Amino acid sequence: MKRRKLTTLLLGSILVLSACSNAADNTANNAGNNADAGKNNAETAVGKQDPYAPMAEQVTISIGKEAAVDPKLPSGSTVEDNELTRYFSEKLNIKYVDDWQATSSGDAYRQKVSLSLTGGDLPDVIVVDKQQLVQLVNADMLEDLTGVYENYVSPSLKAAYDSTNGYSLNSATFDGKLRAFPNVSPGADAENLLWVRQDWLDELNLPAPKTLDDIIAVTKAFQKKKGASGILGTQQIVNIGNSQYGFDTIFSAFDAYPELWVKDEQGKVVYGSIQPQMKEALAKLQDMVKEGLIDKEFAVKKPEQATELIVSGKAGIFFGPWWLPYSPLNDAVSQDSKAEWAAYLAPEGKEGKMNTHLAAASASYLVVRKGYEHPEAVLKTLNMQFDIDQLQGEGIVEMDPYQWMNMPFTLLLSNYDDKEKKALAVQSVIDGSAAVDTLQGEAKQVYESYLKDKETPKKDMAAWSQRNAFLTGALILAGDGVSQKQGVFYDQTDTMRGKWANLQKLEDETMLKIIMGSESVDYFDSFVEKWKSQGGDQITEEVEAQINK
Amino acid sequence: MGKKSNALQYHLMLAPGMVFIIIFGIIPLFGIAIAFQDFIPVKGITGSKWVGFDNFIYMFQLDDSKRILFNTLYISILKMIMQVLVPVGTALLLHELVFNRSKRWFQTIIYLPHFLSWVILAGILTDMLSAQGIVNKIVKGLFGDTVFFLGSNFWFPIVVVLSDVWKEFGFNAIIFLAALTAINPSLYEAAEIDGAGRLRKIWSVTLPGILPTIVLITTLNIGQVLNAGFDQIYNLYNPLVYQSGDIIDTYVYRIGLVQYQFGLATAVGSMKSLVGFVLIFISYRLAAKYANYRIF
Repeated sequence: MKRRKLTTLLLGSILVLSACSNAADNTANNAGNNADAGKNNAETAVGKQDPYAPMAEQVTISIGKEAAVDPKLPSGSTVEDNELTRYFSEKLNIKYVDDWQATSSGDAYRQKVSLSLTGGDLPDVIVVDKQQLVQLVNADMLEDLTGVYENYVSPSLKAAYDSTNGYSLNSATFDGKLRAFPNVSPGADAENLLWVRQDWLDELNLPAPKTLDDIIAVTKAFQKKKGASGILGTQQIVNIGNSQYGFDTIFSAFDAYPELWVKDEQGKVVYGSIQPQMKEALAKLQDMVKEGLIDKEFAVKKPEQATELIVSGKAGIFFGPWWLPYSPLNDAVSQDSKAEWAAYLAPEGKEGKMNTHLAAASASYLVVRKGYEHPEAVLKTLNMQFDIDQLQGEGIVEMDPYQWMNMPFTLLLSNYDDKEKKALAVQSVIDGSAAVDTLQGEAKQVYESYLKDKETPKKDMAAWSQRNAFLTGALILAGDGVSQKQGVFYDQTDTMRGKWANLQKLEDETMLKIIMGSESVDYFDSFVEKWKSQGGDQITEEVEAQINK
Repeated sequence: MGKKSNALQYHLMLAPGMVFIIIFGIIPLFGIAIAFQDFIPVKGITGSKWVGFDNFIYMFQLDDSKRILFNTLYISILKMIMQVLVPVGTALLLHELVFNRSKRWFQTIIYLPHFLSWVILAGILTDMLSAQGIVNKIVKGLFGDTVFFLGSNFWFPIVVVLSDVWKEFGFNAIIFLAALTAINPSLYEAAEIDGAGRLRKIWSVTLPGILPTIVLITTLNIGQVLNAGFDQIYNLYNPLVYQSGDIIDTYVYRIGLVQYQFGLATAVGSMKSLVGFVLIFISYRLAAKYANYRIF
């Protein structure tokens, strides 16, 4: 008797469950059908259109919105409804509705996106990463944007996309169809400079560091005479994107490009981390750790701990991107107003230039739900977003402080050489070779910051930061002292999805062990063997195939 | 008749609980299907490709699998032993304290770390264990050289176990303190009359008195043996100590959530559940046999 009840219960629950899953299937199918029914009418629109013309009738765009952690809005304004969004609405006759918002802190936004994707419940517009883009394309859930792009893109946005030599648009194109509007992040962000305490350098009468040996000499002097720590480092030795305190340029000085897919001399695709040049670089790093030039505790350090050393005046030499004056160098200078920071293109490679890797120009993608009736409204918004961001909201934002994330879509769009270009423009005004009124937007702000900081040095830290980030950091990247290495592949292949985690772990462990000296440099050879046999060779073939496609 | 309607009432009372279990406990179990798929979130479970046992086969091919399983067991068994020995010792010491007020003081102070999260404690620990940290200052004074605690495969598991004990022993001692109060005082009086000293009383009265509790706690912990503590290790480890510190949970986190390999991560995770289930089964039998602990 008892048993039969139990069976009934079980059967009952299974029935309920299967009913549930069928229902889910049906809705998914319906959604698919609807999508097909609502074939886009953009394809029917022919020829170039005014990229800024308002929509004939008001249209609504629902957005899965990534919001700034600190949107800096006065009371009454919201992320969804503020000076910027109102301006867009008015100019373009578009209503922007946030389906949901998630902040960019931690994983909140990414998780929210995953959730919408799994639920098959896409807003009209959402920003996804490359892997999610590929998934969405494979599931055929995205609008074809090829025609919309051709007909509606503004000249300035097109120029920005063209500044990546086609990389951006190619990475969003599948079978000849444009499936997303990619972001364009400034190339300068991935290039590391050597940041040095210039006042110490002057005090100790040391020449500007150029080669790796110079860097070592400076570090030794700082340690001995200033009681400073060695070259800063963190757990992350190398990072192709943002490599604060990374050793990337030490590797590239030896012409080694870890974590980057590059072409070798025969034009074959190879993975940078397993190239023979790595051995030399690793041996050098091992020596530097042995000599105490790099604190061996770098392996357990998080970036915050390294930053602490800078702010407390205990570090005088390390690698980092052009924007370090915004943080943490501004804090360091507030603590000690005598501190002067300078950036150098060092260490030099064999050709006398600083070698540096470049990151993928695009890593996030604005996609439009398949079946959305007005994809051109989306592109019109982007056209305007680009222009307004170039002007830093000038003429629009009066009450609110400008924050680009408060625009309708959270997609960063800039020229690939944005920072270098602006720094050069400002410098030529300072030199007197150009007129002040040639400057606009951010460049104008930089010039104002320069004047303000020159007048009363280090009083207004915001001005100090902006002046130094551009005129100390970005400016030297604009010269011809840099030799840039572009990777040939920044995506994932099929086999990578299964085996990359394991290879990555192998790589991380090996590099750290060799640098720390717990394994000899020759251990590198057995790492290469292992890497190849555990799927690396197969992945290399796939990468080669994808590039030649 | 009357009896029957009563039964119906009881079943109705059970219903909300059952619904909860079905929604939050049973339905999610179907997610294990992911382990047999090349899972792609957009396509969902129904749309992703089935790959049979591929994920499991790959899991057993990885060099890491054995090491990770070993680390998990090694760390958690060490933790299990220490988490009984230290709290029992603490409880006994507290029990022997004559002054009730200082007893409460001690108790409060030693269980305070239990309420801090590992994120905070890991920050404190990394500072304390760094080359300039307080621990290494003492070590240097005694042995003349510093120890790289968080970067050494020998020291890392020890740091993990000891810091876990430090965080939890005060809190775990509470159960044993409770068990101690249940011992009949007349037994102590009788022992005193027989001429027993302090140690003798502990050995012959106190310990036998709390032995069932010790056995019960230990056997119940066996079911937890594959939980070596994600929070703690994730916040403390780095690639240098993957070899000795990478446990199933941190591995699943890295490959599953960081690298999007949901299929493989679920396979590893469900393997853990399976072994955990067997261990719970064993520990339940042991608890029934030695501590007379039964649910049904």
